[in-house]
Amino acid sequence: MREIFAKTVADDLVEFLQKHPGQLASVHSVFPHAVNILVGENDLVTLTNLDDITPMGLRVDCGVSFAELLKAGDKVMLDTDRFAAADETFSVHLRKAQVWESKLRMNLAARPAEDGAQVRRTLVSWLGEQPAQGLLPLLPRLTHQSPRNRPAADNLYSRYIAGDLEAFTDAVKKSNWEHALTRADRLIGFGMGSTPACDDFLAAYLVVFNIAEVLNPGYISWIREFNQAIATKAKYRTTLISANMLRHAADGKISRSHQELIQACLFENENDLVQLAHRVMQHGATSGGDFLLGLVCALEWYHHIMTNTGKEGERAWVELNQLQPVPGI
Amino acid sequence: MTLHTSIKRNAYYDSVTLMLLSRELQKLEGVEDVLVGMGTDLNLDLARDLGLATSEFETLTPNDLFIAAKIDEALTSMKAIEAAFNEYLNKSAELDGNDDYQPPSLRSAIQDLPGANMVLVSVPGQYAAAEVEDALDAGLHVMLFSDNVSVEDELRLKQKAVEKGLLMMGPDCGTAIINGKPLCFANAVRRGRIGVVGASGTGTQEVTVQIHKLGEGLSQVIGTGGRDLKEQIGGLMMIQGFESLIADPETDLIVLISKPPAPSMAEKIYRIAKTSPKPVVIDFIGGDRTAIEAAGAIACISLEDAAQKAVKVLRGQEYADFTGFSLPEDEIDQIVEDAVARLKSDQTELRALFTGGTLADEAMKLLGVHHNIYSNIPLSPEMAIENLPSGRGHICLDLGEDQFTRGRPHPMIDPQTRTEFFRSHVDGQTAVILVDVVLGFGSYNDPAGAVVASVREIRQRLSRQSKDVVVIASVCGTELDNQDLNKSIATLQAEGILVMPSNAQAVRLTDKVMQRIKKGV
Amino acid sequence: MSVNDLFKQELKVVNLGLKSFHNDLKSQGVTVVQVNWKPKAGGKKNMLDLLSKINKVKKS
Repeated sequence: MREIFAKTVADDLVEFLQKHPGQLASVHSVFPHAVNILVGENDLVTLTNLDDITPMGLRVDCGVSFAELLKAGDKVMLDTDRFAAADETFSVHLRKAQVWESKLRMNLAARPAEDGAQVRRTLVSWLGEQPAQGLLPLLPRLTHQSPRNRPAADNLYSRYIAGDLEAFTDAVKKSNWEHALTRADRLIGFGMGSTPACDDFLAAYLVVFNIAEVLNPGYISWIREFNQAIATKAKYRTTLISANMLRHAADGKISRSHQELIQACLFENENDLVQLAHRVMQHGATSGGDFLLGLVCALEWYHHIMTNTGKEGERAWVELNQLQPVPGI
Repeated sequence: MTLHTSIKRNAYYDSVTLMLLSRELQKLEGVEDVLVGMGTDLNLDLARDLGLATSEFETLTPNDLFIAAKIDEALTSMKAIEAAFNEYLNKSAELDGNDDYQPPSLRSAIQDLPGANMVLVSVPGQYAAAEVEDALDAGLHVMLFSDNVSVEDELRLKQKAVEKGLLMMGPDCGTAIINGKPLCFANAVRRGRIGVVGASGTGTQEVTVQIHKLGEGLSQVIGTGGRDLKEQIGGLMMIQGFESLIADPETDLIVLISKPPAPSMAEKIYRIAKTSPKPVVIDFIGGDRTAIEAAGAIACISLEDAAQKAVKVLRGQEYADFTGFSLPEDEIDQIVEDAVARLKSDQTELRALFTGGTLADEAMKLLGVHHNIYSNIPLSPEMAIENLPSGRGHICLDLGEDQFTRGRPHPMIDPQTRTEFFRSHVDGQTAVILVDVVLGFGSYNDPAGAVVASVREIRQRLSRQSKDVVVIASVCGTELDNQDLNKSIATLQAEGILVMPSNAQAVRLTDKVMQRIKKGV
Repeated sequence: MSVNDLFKQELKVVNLGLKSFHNDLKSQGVTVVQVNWKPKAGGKKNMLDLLSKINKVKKS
């Protein structure tokens, strides 16, 4: 019997276990550094052995690949203080785990518009230097840089979806949320990977929308409906793993590494932006990059509406639409 | 053509694997088109738009993986494609270690690997120092490939390494061969009795390759990083490496390679050389000959010369400066005549495009003396490439320098940069093109092929003006390298490229051609 | 363990960074472990750079 100890547990998982003690669940998918356990019909609990944690998740200190302990279909019993494999080969102890707040703390001072714009430019510039995989070949186009680069010839998916992504980001910028929702129909579930590329892109938007709404209650009233609509569509249109991710994102919840980056973008704090972006970039194979692309687009929207009053708004608009040199290409 | 769909229920693979796999399947004979993805509505829409839909699409859920293919059943079958799919996954699992556990940190890796003795660091520079510190604290030797590490950090880490008797090769160290195993950019060479300590990556590669060619072998090849012999660092690793080779029972002769160090640094090295019981060959590229010989060491005039002298001394033979060619002088003269005969009178310029920094250096040292050459590593400030008068003049570029590798891979890994320079910098006034072709671990899988493709393009372009161009190359590699020295040479020669047995000879031949052009008809 | 000791042992490598280095070593039969590397949290260097840039903009 292998005993593993949880270092951190997400607050929503704690709540869930308290409400539903003694649940029998089954392993949904196994990766070297993560395991998804299916509870009920649609909900996934995620264990990871890396220095990160997801909503409805646990971080464990386990020196072995999960593939050595579990395979898809194995039965696991979930209880408030421990998880145990039905065949008694291992158990995870939760009692000493620290609790992680899955929703972003918003008690810090929000960044002023100018700083925020600078932060976004730093991110865009850094992203431009990363390997152009997943949706990243579309970075110049979606951030209005010149020249309009053609995406890498072998990236069929990003070539195909470029127009739809642009239509979506344009609709959002114009606060035309009904149109944006229709456009999102062309994005949910599209792309390679266990979390299709466009879902990672949308997740960034959902989290930024959520934060914007909380910081400015009543000001952007369409966000709640929009986020819920996306989460509902995702349930049937995309992989289970991705649907869970989008559902959490709609509530403003995302894995800690991504959360810390978004926090650094929107609030005053002492963290190293590029280091945080780097950590997100290494998430999944291209998921991190796709999320980051969505983030810089969502941040553009955010700054646009935050500075959208009178003269200030005009200056911000000019700033945002300035042609930027594309680094390293 | 028929359409087939293969389904893997509840299967999850990462996007890069799927992308690469798609490309591999596309290459199979009999496959006209293929798409791999999760069965979401939109991915299936894409497949439909590509004309790949079949009735099985109805059964797909978003949690299923599909392979939709249009195939010629005379040439292949869905079974074959599925087999290729599985083979590819297993192969990439082997290489990428999908089955292999990847520990999340250096500390857990050391726990997982008892007897670990070397850490190879190639993470971004700003994070590298901390990782190296941890490795040294844990008592492991380090090879630091990353650059953009501060001088202060380098000094502090090397001092710690010396204190603990450990190697800290780097920063910016690209080449080492420890216990016969090539690390990062290095060639497959035989094991033997000659030890090397080098501050110059491709310089070290050229020397080891030449030693191998002459039939001898390498005991240890230690890298020091490009800054080691600067005053602030004090040659700590050069000294550490040098002393360990003196103490190594498997090493009978030592070769030191570096750009000329500051005199105080050179002094330190000479002091050790004076008391060394083993012969020492010192190639301080272009350095002070008398001082080297006064220290009882053997001076060199090129990387090839260093290798030749090392081998001769090891064998107890007489040695002399090698300033000529492997081929007889009259054959060389004929080659020069034939080459120049192919040129028109307005073709007078040199375009030297190097991927290896030290090889570019060697070219500049010789050619720059006889001709005015503009470069990003100029012999004097007025010859900096920015001063090139409206694109006219001789040019020699080190394409591995920082200014050309911002946001793109080093030209040894990816030939694209040099391909672009071939296109932009070679024109109707170019007489001769000089290149290096570096084989071995870390290098692109077919550098000779990439050069040939570029030369072909150029010849096509120039033929419209009824012009030709002379191309001279050397191949830094061995028959044991994956890219195969002999195959690479044959590929280049088939395209009419003049292949010399060493960088020094290629440079000398280039000089002869240029002198001949200057002389005129 | 000194340099000369290293020369007598079997090379066992921990690789942090470019996967290709790991793959090359593996193909030669060297025992090598690839670390799934991520930057450590903390550290203020980039933030300082960013702040000084913002301060310059504010003053102008």
